Amino acid sequence: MVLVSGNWASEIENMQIYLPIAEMSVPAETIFVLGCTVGFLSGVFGVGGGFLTTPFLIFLGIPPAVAVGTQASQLVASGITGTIGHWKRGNVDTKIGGIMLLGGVIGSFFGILIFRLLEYLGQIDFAISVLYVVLLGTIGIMMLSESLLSSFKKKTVKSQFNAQQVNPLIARLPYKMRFPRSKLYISALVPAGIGFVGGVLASILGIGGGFLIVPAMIYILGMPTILAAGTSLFQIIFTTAAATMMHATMNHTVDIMLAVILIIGGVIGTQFGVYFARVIKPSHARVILAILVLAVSGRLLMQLILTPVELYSTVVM
Amino acid sequence: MMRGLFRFIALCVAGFGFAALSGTPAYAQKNLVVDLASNHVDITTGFNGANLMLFGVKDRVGDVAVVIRGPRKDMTVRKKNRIAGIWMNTQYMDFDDVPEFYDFAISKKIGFDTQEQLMLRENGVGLSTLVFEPKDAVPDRERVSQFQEALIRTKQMQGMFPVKGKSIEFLSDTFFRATLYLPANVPTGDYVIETLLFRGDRLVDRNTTRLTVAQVGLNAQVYDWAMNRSFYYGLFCVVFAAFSGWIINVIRNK
Repeated sequence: MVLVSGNWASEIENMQIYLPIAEMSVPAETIFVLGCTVGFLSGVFGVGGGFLTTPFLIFLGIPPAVAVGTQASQLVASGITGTIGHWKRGNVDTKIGGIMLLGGVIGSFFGILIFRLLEYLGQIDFAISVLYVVLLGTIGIMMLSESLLSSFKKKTVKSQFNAQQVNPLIARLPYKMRFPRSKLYISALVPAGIGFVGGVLASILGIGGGFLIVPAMIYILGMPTILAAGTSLFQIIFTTAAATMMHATMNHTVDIMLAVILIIGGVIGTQFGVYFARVIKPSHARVILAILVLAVSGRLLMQLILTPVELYSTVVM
Repeated sequence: MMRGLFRFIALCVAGFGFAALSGTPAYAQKNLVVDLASNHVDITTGFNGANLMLFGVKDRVGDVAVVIRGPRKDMTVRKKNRIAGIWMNTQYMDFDDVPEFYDFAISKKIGFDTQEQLMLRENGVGLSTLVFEPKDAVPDRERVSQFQEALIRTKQMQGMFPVKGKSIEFLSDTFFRATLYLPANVPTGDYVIETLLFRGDRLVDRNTTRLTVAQVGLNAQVYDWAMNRSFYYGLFCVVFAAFSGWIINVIRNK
């Protein structure tokens, strides 16, 4: 759906804009439409939408490094947008979030190194596609089945439990800390580790990774669901801010021009999204999001499986 | 462009006038005078490719060929293979000093495998000159030629190498114009443009002109900040993103 709208937009008018860091000319309105779509999604579902932006930018021919580097700065924006609401309602555990972001910053650094290595080996597009297919495919199927099941059974699936049963392996880890806000007594290594994974994903895929971090916080840490979302968003702000700084200083791959167009589109799209969210049933919205996630995953899977028109590619080293 | 033309004419007049007056051999030997309408291509925010006009005067009978070459870079050609049902890059070959951009124009049709073609090839004119040897010696010639062809083909698909040469327009017996096109994704850097005057298989004269392709204005500023003051640039990006995140929140709650 989204991929089609991009092509459709570029046919209407060809307003090209030259991106100073990507060093290439792109159709401005296509990027704008992408920003609008992502803004719309964040307005409706409260997701960052990175899973849509990064593959689409690469699909447009923007170097993966620039796509991911610029996307990191976008995630700062959506992280702040998301956190403010949770913060006002007091749903952010800053202590556990602080430990997570420490892990997240280190993870971002490693992610950038891995990204560079994969780029050098010529496997970055491949790695990004595979990771997206696996992550989005799994999440999409889970979301879709959960939504469909809940609509049949007419009851909420979201279990509101505090996982009292912490895995014995995790319970044995050292550096135990008390997190009063979340009512947890757990090794600091666990939240730091979850943050670390989030940081790696942010640096390689240009996504906040909330869809992975939030379940991990609920099921592995045993955090209350209500605190998990806010705390995850809170640590995403700082992790992606650090990732942006590293992309900018180590790789010089943050394109502010690209970021500006995406954000302007995002601001407009959000307005429509918020309006749409009021008229649509939340259960329907979840199904739509699941289908969208699966569509992106499927598109990338096709790219991996179908025989390419040109087997060769040339890059400047 | 008109200004460039005037400048060129003024240059020709001055040049010939000087040659006629002083009779210095250096000028007397110049059979070919060439100038670009502009010796720089400015990449602005709205840049979407540019035509490059080259004007020239020849005072000898003969044909003209023009060649443009972009900055030379090391390139890697990669080949995808199917592994467990999935296509991934598995083979690669490095080529050093490949021009990022190449194009040419000739004022007449050149027969295949003629003396003329051989002479032009020796002077770097034509698709047949685009043969690059891999950086590391590969014994398998079959494989080398596959990658060599792929290099040219993929560069042609990017619009960086021509599929065929352009033509040169003669505005009079002596005055000619070549129009080359630089695509929207043209690499930045220093370009060399060579103009050859030839008669049959004999090279009469040659002229070298330089061209700079660079970002200008706001684009150049942004690029400069990003490269040379990357810490502050990154900080600015973060602050900008944070601010817009706040704005989006305000809109949401309206």
